[in-house]
Amino acid sequence: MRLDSESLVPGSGDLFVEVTDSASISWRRGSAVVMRGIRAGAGARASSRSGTTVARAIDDPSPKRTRELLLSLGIDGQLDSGPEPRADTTECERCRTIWLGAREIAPAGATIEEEIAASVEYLESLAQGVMTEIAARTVEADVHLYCQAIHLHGARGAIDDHRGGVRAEIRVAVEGERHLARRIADRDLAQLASRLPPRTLGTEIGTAALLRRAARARPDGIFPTVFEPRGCGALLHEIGHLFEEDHAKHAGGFVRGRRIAPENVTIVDDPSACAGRGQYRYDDEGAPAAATILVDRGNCTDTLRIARRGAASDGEGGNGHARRASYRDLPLARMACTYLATGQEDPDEIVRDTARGLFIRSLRTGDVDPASGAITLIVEEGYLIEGGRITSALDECIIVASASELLGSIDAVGTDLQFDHGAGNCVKLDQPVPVIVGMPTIRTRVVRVFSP
Amino acid sequence: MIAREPTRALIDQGREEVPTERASPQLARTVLATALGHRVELAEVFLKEGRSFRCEFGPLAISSLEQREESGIAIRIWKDGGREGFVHSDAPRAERIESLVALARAAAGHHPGGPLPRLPRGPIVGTVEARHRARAVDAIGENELLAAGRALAGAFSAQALGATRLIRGWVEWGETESLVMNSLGREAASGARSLNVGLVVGPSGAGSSTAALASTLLYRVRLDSMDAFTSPRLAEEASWRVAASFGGEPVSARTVPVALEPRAAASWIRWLLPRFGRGHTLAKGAAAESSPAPRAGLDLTDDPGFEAETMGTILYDGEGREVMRREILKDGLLVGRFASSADPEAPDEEIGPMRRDSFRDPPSPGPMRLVLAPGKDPRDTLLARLAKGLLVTSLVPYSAPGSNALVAEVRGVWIEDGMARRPVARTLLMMPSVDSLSRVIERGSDLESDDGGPTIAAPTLVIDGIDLIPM
Repeated sequence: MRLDSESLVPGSGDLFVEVTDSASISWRRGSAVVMRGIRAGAGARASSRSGTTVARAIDDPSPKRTRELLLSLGIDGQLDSGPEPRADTTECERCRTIWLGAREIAPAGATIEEEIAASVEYLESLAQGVMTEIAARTVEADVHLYCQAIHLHGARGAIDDHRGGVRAEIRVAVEGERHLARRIADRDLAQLASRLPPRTLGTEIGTAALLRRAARARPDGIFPTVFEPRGCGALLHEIGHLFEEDHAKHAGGFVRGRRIAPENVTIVDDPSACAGRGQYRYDDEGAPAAATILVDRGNCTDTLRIARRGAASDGEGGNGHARRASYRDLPLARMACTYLATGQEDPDEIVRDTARGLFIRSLRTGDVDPASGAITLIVEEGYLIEGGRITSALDECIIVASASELLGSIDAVGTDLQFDHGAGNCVKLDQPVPVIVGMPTIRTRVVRVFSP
Repeated sequence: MIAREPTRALIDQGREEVPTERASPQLARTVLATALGHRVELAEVFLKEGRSFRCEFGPLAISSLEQREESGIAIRIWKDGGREGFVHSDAPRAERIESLVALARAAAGHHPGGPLPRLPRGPIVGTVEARHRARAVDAIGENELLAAGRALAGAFSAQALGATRLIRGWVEWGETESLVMNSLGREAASGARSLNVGLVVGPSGAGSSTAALASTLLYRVRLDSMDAFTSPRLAEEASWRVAASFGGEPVSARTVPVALEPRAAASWIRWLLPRFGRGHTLAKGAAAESSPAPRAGLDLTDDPGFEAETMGTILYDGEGREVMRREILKDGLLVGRFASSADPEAPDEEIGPMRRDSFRDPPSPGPMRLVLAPGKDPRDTLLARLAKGLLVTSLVPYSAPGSNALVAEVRGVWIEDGMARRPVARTLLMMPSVDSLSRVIERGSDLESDDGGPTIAAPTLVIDGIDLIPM
């Protein structure tokens, strides 16, 4: 379908070109199964005056096919220069290599190869750390590495961006027990290893597996709950969905201008706040990444938006949070790096001040129903708090609460803001994108817990 | 060790000319020739070419019209004692082959080695005829999709149901051709076309009232042609499931029988799927302790020819192996499983089907189309026999597929003395994984297909002794 040029909204056409080099590693001690992948393609879209977006995606981003793509939508004349990326603005050497690879049909692999080798070395060392603490039946991991070059050409002109990172899910199991998983991630292996030395992390995971084996509590009821920063990103992430503009309009979403949390709660989404998976300089509509304050001292102040096009526009425009999973997809309003700002309380004191409750170290996954705001979180690793002390380990349990209850009942915010780089991929409307979540230690008064 | 002699011809054949077609046998032969030129023990190439049109709409207008192409290549090689390397790339092109094979060889360098997988051996199967047999759906253009989208949006505006509204929906048509070829002489081509409709429907009051907490629901259905496209019926089918739990409240904690309507039953079976793989908890045969107790008529079959008139017949799996009807449960007892071709201990008859939903993923064992045999009585008769229980119209699992216990959010209608009493929402359902099959006490006659991954067809199922907990 070729849009009649008279029906186009001027400046509504844009082009998104992507080349991604990736590797997935299934690792066990002494064994690594490696899958390499090259994804390359271009997606273009334009809007008619009636508000319909017409989009096309091709899996060959060569200049010839890209030009044909623009012609097929009738928007070739709107873009003032060709779709070729400007190599001089691509800062990352690896991305530049990928670009050249895509154009010259010779995918670059050397740098990802080095990352694969470094990953295997890291995991072997981590496993040794685990084994110093516990005789694990299995220590295994899934690692994903990617490096992505983006070229976006629209009404604002042309921009290039490069993205990438490494993420690993490590699973440790002892005989007769369900495995314990940890998720870690960063910009690259070197960064990851300097932040989380493998032997130290291995020892920590081994200790956690040992604790869970020794004691098992099955909580059922309503508890004050302390969430530790590094592995509880799913909590804030699920709440964050309700600030995405398409969800914010539902009953479960938050209304701007209303108080939704105590004064010690400020929540921000800033795609450039933290280096790693999910970080970008420009969003997938070409808008500069910008910090958006969603909750300012307890008041709902903003939502995450995309630049709407055509007659459907409500005039607000985007604020740097348009993201797409690939060149085949249309942008959606998404989180990138969401964090709850640091508070003033000593994290240890928060635990000591809890007579009886739960201490959650890691959440496996979460889900939110945007219509009702109901949030469900699966606890991966947690403990009882008894008399202000962390005691028995919890068996897998489920937290169910409404987002407004969770936010409204936060009564302590710690000073120890940390980022959960391993928060993983968020999937919305079948589009997975990497995200980072940051928070300090917090305590909520109303958390309903079930142990299946 | 695989004899290399038969592959000589392939090497020579592949070097004769550089093909330009993306999913052509010639391109595949060139890939194999390139790989074998590097002294690999075994090689396989999978090519896929596809395109799709998608019309997405809201309650008032068409929001987008998308056209996508998706072609790709996956290369697997085994070298130096079974060291495996895998690489995939979009847009297979002859000029890239050498570098892709190099990446696969580099990946294999990390593998510890082991037995070679049992890939199917020649001959060439699945030619043009097979591609067409699998295409039950006619080609559909963008204008037809636009018209369908408008009709569906209009059906919601016009319908007298009142309690529900369309939030968003889509109509999507797609076709793919795939070709798998290995260095053992196997070559299998297949094709598929599909026409899918998705409707996200919610209660009319949501958005304006916090009391309208009943959630939205995605209703997905596969059609065999535009002739089957009757927008009022589709709108009604999507709507009653939402309307059933509109304004619902949680039930208090209790243990009762639940009736899963066909799509909820399919969600449950989908969650159970890992349990039917070799090496998981369910053991084969009646003697096994973990096998569920006998239940006459509780038959689960993987049937690649099920609803062939709508979906075409699946002839080959992702490694080019013929697929055929396979019994998984017979009278509630496990009689068949899915095993990987890379499992050296799996009996030959258990290997496969090796599913390959995308060229980006290596093949893995799983069903093609699972069918749980229906019973004789309609759903209403089953419900009339329920003294107290829950009719589940939506089941969203929270626990990981195949784990020890199913924890799912359910919505539906509370039944007492065989009558619908009140809507139910925000309720958690919990049941143990293995044991749950032996708790199926009734099956309805209302078989329906659900397409979220492998197609699963199930009737309404009544399952006894299920824990419900308010959220």
